[in-house]
Amino acid sequence: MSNCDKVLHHIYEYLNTHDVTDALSDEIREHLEKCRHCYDRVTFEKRLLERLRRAGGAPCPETLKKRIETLVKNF
Amino acid sequence: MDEPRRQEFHQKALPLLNELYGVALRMTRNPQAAEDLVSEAYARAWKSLDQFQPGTNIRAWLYKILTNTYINAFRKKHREPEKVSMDAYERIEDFHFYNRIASQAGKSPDPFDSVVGKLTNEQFEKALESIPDEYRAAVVLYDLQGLSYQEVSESLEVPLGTVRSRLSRGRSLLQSALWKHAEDAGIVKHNGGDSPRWVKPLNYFFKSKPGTENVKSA
Ligand SMILES: [Zn+2]
Repeated sequence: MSNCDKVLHHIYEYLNTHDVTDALSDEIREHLEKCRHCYDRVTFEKRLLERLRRAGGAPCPETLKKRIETLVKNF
Repeated sequence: MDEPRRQEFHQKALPLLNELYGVALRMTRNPQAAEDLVSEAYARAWKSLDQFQPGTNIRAWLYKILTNTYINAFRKKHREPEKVSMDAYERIEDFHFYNRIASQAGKSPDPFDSVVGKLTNEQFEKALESIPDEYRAAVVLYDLQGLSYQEVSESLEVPLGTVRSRLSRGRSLLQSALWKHAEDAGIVKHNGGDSPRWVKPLNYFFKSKPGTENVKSA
């Protein structure tokens, strides 16, 4: 597996941060400094996920907040 | 329930209400069902608070309760599991969205602003909603909410290997849906074959626009 393949294979784990070792994470970060191809992809996926996160910004309705507070009070 | 526990629940679990509601909404695709789901999950969490180990991750614990509740009660009641045509899936390569954009944009300075920046919140949500439940749940929990494989596995009650394959398929389906939304919105041109075309010259898309996000670091 080439370095590029390795980075692309672990791209979402790298972005999530939980399921990569520190060593692998460092290795990927170093590769991204040198490889424009991978850097562009990783940056794209990262920004895409950030955008997706922001897209679903419906706040919790007041009725639900009340329901939960009542629930906690009545126990 | 004693007062210290009530305090702990207030301090740690209640601030997660907005976040959990957002996830419930994405799972159920229905505001009323999302409310019922969150309400039920908090009731269960509250009842089993004495099983919660202080010092462990209350967020992951609540996600697990929320998702388990969803799988075991809501999903069975509301809908049957959907089957994705694997034929359709096999035709979608990894990084589909990026590849299609890049193949058009060539060495463009910013394929992100040119396409992704033009999609609306509603188009993103529609694309997410189009993914079958089990794949969407995996993508939401791992890629959007940042849970670990292990936490997603416990939440969805499936083995780690299944989590990985659902993530892989879910991402492909999502990226394919996003491309389709970009086509439908006229951001990129509809195209019958494999090489989508731009509607307008590239320089039209790559002018920097105020208000578009500008995160450069990976
Ligand atoms: Zn590379």
